[in-house]
Amino acid sequence: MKNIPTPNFNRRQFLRGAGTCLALPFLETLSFGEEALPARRFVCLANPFGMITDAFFPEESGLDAKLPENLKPLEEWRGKFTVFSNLDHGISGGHAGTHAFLSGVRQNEAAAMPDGNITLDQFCAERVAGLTRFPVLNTSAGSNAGGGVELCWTRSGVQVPSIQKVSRVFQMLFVDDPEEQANKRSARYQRQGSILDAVHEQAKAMNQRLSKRDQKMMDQYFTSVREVEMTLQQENAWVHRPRPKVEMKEPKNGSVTQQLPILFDLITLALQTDSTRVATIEVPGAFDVGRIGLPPKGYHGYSHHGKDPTLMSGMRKIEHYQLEHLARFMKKLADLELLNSTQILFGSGMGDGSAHTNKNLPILVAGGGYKHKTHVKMPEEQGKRVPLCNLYLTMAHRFGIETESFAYSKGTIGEIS
Amino acid sequence: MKVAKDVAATSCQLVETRHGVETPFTTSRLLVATMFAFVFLPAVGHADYKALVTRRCLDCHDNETRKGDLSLEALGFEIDKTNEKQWLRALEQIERGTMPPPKKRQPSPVERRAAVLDLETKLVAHQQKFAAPKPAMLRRLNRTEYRATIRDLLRLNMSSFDPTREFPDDNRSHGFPSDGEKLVTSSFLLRQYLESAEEIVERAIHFEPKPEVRRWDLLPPFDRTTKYQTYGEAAYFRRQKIQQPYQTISERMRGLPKGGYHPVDEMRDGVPVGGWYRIRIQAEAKFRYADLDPTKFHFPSEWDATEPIRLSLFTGTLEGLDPENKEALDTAATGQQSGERLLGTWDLPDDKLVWLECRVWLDGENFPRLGFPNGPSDSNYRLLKYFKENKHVLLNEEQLANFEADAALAGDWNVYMFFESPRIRVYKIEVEGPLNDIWPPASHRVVFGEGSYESKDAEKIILPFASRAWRRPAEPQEVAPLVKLVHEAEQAGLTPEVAVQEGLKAILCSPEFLYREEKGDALTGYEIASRLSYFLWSSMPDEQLLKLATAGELSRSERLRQEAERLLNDSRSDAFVNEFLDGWLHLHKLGTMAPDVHRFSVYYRDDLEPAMKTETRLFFRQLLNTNGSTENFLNSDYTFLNKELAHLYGVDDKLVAAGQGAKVEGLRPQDLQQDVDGSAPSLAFARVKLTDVRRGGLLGQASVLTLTANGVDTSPVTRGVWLLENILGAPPPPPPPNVASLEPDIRGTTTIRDQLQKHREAPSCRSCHQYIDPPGFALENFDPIGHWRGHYPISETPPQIDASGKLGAAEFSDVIGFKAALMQHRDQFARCIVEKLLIHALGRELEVIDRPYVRKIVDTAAKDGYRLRDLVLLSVESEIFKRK
Repeated sequence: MKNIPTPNFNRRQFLRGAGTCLALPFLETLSFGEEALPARRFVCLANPFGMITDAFFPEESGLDAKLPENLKPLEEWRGKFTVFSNLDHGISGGHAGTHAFLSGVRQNEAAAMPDGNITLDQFCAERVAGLTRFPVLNTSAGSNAGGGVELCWTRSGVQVPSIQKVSRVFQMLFVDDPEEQANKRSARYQRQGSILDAVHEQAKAMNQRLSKRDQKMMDQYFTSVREVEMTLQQENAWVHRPRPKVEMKEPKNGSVTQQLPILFDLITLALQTDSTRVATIEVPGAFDVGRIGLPPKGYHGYSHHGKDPTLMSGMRKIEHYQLEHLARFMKKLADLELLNSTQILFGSGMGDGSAHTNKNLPILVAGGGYKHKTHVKMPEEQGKRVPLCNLYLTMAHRFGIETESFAYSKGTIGEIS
Repeated sequence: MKVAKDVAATSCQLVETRHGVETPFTTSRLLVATMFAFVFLPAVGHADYKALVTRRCLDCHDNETRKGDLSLEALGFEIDKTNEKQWLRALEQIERGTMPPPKKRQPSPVERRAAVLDLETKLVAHQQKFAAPKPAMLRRLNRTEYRATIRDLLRLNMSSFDPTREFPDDNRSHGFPSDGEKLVTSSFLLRQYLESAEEIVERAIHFEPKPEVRRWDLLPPFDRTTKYQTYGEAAYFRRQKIQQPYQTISERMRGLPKGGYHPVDEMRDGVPVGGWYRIRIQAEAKFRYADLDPTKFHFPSEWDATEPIRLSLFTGTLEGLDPENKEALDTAATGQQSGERLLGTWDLPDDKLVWLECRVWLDGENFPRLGFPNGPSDSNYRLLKYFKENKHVLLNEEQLANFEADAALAGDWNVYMFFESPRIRVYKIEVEGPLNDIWPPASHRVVFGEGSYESKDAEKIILPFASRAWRRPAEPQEVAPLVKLVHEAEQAGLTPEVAVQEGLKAILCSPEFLYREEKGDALTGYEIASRLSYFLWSSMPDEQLLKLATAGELSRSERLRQEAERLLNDSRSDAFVNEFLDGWLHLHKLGTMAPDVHRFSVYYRDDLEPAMKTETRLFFRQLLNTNGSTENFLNSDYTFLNKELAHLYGVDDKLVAAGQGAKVEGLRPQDLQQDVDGSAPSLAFARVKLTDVRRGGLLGQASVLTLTANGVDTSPVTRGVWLLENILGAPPPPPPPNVASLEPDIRGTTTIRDQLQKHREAPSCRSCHQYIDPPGFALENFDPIGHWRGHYPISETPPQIDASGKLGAAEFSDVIGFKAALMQHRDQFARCIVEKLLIHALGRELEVIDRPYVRKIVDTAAKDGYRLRDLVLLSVESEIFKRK
């Protein structure tokens, strides 16, 4: 792995950046120690219906590439982001293929993969579990009615449900349990631990009479028992530690466009207070297009534009909105000097929502201390195409994970390293 | 030559007869039968698949032509590892009649069948030589099974308790969440198991004394949160110095998510403990025939005076909400809730004060809420506006003077008191409970019996509970770690009663409970009992099944059949109907790609989603109970409709009204009645004779048509693939990588047909799309929610829909012709159902060596026209059901 330049990250600057929205004291959470590798934060923002290509992919490549309509909000961040064209997972299936966006692996092929269809966020979270209160925060700006993103999957092929309420995210991050409740919880963790010990023995006895093939299934159970035991211990350790105090009030839940900006604020605070280092945000199909001035046809409806100019312009507006807020998020991180240490991935498992393709996915990487180039065109011809998983492997490396591969990766992407 | 051929045909028939009817299906017997034919009949060569392939296939599939890049000549007739897959595909194609292609000369049915049998026999023999022993799969309980098992294990009322609500979705294979290999376990799930075990045990076990019965006698206003109307009304009565006699509900619950529920606010904290409660409501329907001609007044919307005024009672819960956050609480109390449950709906007589009564289960923290499900929509504001514009017509002089005097004091929202719009007046509400006929409740007794519990009883409690939970007798040494856990918990300071509950929780997290285990190749009696009960109930075996298992009775086919009949006749078999339809037709997908809320607002307004499911389930349930022919799924002259579905289908709703309340053979009245614990005959489903043959069978049902669309558009490809997979049992391979995708273009006049036509020009696309597209096009006249359409709703000159095509050699011009063509494939359809039944029952993929068993079931059922219950029972009786 290459050496990564250490960003300017010290307590004083941290405080200055944090001063606007943080109340003291919270400093013990900053004791990263050895773990404070530069880009050990990862945030993914994803939508279910892709992006209209002409408004997303610049025509030219290179740092100075002219930005198309939807990327305009990112103009001031030139040099801090890169759009990749011609990256995908080589799969098909339309809506049925989008769940593989962050894993590269369709759920029905997961059994054949050593790490199943684990998604990049979970992969990173495993690496930092226990170091922060939450290994990962999987959130969504709204309900999945009208099409969900199905973004995050564990290594055993289970979809991780995302938290759809900002009030819940806030409570998890910043509201301490009352003392009595904390004690109860602690006692409960211990009892659950004893139950796990008992069933573990049960399982060992059962395992002896199983066939080889069934023992493989049983491995999942054993692994789960071990993992839960560990998580219970980690969480128990966090129970009595106070959560960081912030000035933000508990936000009200609302529609997608009401919640999305709040989610970005919350994730920013979560990263800033080191409550988590990995987060995902889904922009679901319940997107309330009315609030951005569009006739109410639904996000999914606009994505089926069928080249109709009115619908296409509506779709672009919905997409533009997302990138606007991405830019706002980048600014917040930059102000806190967290941008260079946070890898942001924006994209979708859908390429063209109208044609239902899973090819040439919209992919944008920001922050993370890369040598960004605005637009990198990856090879288009068959046989020379580069799997999107190469990018994921690159990002996993930068996150500090020493691994030779991620899903179907065949190497890393050197273009922005 | 001609003579020889006839002889050959006779010989084939003989083989067929022996195979189909007499021979218990084992491969060796089949081989004997085939050999018998070889020995005794001269022209037996025709029974050989080689003969058919040589005569009918090699023209195109020889080394020279290699049509579709396949040379059967090069494959070689001996089946081996290198060619088994291609020969299996060849077998399927010959069997389904897709090969030889329609324009070529066809083999006689007898010849075709004989060749299929021969090839199948050889493939099976080959597989048995090489194949590894069958997968021995531990099968984790899926969500449905877990929930039903908990219900039966602990005799718990689950009507508002779902311990699986936080479980991740189970992976499906062929539509079913039952494949052991796909039912993975994760730490996330195990964590949920721990949490749920606590919740379950807490609900089930009651050492505390019997809770006091409480009674609430409530007077209006019941609802302090529906601000304008109630406040307006309450305020009016206050001004008049009259004790408010009733509360008015004048507007339907509506919107997305639905609002307009009326919480019984005095009970907002919910009932203190879960249990059975008696709820009585005194109410009166008023002004149903109010003069509200919409053409005259543009008011109100969605009012149908031909329907009786209905009152609904729901549960509500504010669980998980911040008690300080008043606004959030109010919104939740009056809005649709994810955990809400309809307790009952009543048709109200006009202008007559009535008492409505029901006995319902309320969980702790639940409170009652009222609603007017078919009230005028959005009426409050419209009503006010309308009233103000027309008050001089609507009121006489004296009334007008009174109104204006009152309005001068309080503003316009007193309008309800002066104007007669359709409404419900609720006078009194009485709630009483929890009504525990016995104490402790059944859930406690099933574990602890009547007596008290002491530390020394730990094993006496744990061992029998483990035996029931594990669905087989547990050994004392097996439960030793659990008993140890109980003792240790006690030593750590818990009381004996609490400590023993830790043991119960552990049993609910133990692998023996969570997984179904099948040890040897031949199943034990207990394993058969579980297989049967999970197949037909999605739950654990009951006492009788376990007794029969102990007695070794279940290995006898006739006994097993009897038990299957018993299980099907029990209402728990609703789980079979629901689960099987969810898997087979993908009915679970309904609502996941929800129809566009604006284009298809009727879907939400008329609650079509549950109605669609009900139609399909009733259709299936009735065929199952009456042992009707599965051909009805392909086409029928009847279906089951409520009024809303009738509107969607363009069927006269008078037909529904005429059929409501009529007895339907094979169905219980409560199957057709959608009012839960209330009484609303006007909501019932009725069996309706269809004069419009387009709607007959599954392919005319809105459930199927909606779940095969994506909520915005229809795609012939999606529907075609669905039909091949689930009706014809011939799933196409996934598309090759790198195909150009279709880019829909709704600007001009290019239709999807034009595009797919072009797509099919490429040979690699044609090979599959020639089968996929035609069935899809046959259904193009149905829009994304199953409404009939003649044109695509695009551009200003919408192109007409062309639904014509070919299924095999049969040409059709629309869905009616398509269904007629499909009828010719009824055997293939029956085989598809049998395969799905077995996948559901066995929880694994079907292999080549399973084919003879499938064939036997299909052949046996053929003579009676493939009746549905026969197919289910024959599947249970099949040898394959008792093996891994």
